[in-house]
Amino acid sequence: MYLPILCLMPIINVNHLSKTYEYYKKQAGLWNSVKSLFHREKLFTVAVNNISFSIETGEMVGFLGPNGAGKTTTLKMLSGILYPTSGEASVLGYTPWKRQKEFQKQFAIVMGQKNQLWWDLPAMESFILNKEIYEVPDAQFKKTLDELAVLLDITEILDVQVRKLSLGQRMKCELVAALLHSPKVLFLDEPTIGLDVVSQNNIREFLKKYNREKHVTIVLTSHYMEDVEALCERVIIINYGALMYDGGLVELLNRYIDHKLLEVTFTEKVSADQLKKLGKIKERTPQRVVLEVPKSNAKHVAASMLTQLPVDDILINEVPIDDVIRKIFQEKR
Amino acid sequence: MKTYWNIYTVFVQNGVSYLAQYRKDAWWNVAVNVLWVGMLFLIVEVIFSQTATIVGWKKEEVYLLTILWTIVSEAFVMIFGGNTQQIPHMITDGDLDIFLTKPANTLFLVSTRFFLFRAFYRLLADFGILAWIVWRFDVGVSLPHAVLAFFLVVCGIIVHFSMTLLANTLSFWFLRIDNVNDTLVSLHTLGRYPIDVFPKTLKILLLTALPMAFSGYIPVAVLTGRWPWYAVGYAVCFTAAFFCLAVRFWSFALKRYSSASS
Repeated sequence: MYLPILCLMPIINVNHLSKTYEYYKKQAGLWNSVKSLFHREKLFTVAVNNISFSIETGEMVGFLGPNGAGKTTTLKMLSGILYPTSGEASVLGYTPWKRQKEFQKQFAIVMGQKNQLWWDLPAMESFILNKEIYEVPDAQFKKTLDELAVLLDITEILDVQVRKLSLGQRMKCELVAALLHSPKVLFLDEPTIGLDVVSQNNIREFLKKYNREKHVTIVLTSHYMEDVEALCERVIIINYGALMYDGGLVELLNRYIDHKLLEVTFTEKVSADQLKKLGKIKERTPQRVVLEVPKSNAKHVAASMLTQLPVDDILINEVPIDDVIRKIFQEKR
Repeated sequence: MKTYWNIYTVFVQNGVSYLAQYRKDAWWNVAVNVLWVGMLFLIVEVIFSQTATIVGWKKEEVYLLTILWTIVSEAFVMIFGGNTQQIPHMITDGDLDIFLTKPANTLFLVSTRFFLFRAFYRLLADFGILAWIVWRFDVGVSLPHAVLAFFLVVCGIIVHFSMTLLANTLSFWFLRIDNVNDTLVSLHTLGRYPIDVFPKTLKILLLTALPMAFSGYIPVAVLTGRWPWYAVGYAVCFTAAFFCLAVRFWSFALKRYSSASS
């Protein structure tokens, strides 16, 4: 009965959400330690400051920000782990921190730095436990597990103790554990942290395919911009708890970046004076240079170089997304 | 209810799986436990070599008290397996996070997730010792009394759990309460003595605010006729109230949970 209404509404709605933590100040030294036993100065830190956004069904959104920006705190509030200090949020029509079973059965959270798998037992035992907790019928459990095990290529390791698995294998198993009940919303907090490039790519490919096929709404935090570039069309950037940008990744690049990078290799040495006329030198060795040139002028400069200089190879690159994000954080600090 | 039964079944199965991974540790543990129970009996033997009774308690009654107290302790360890004692660490390390997102009672998951199966073997050994005491000393136990005693042992386990939960829940405020479980273990040993030896105030404390008497004294007091059968009513009401208090306190404290930084 409510389904048509829900389809028209965003699946995640956040309104003026804030979270303040309290902590105590303690100065170093024995005397200060003794003093703090009797009196401590209570301080407050605003982890999330009045943020609002909404996310539509099936979207895959990158949640970006430096360490301590408030990304994880926001995800924890949206998954009901933490109560907010003020503001409202609804996920799938539920208030997350009310921790209703109906809601909890429809979402999952994977935290790259925490695991839910039993360390000393094979991953399969944890999957069976989740099957019972989420009341997944036997047939559905078998079907979903078979499907995920093939997709993530973990069929051979299901019966191996978790502590004997590599980090990449463990993360794949964590994903399976989180997806066995077919959640509609998936929160991923740094799912590729610490993984090698091959494993990172495997996880990305899997998430891309899973999102495309199952239309699961995914909110992803990551410090690896490759994750965001590969997976998310939309990004939300927060810093010091405040929302700084909410929009398309392409628009973000257009808004903040007005140049491209020309990476040129020469067949013989080229002087810096010759190159300075063409653009701003970012890196230089005698036979290689990276030049920063205005976006609108990039093709023209490349053509000039080809005719005027002993060019062996030339590449026109976009500015790495890491640099864009770094620039935004530095500008707004 | 069926869901919780199924979850608990998996916990027990995982406990068996865990035991299978560390078999030598399990057998070593059983051996140490038997030795430890033997030591407890040796102490009782030494005391009773000097006197026939202690405040009216005969040797076989103290034996009975010792083994029932051991059974309550072992059953607590087996079912709750130190889970509740892990709560402070779960709070400071943020390990509670994942449990809060599960569609099942968080307290149930947190306090029963690790079923210590090796304690089951120890418990079997304890029941063997109990049978030997009943046979050796010809303790006249009627069936109704035995049923009541069993019921009171269950109450003892629940009270012990509630007390551990209450103490460990304080870590939502104090974060580090490293000594609380050591203190509880020390206090818990008071339950294996006939509490009639203690001053009146302490005796009242052990029956109310620090209910260690539930772990051994009360079952044996009913079994030996020191307490009338209707005293069971007090034990049941107290157990229910104490359990409710612990659960309410946990629910209240859970709202203060602030997780840990990622």
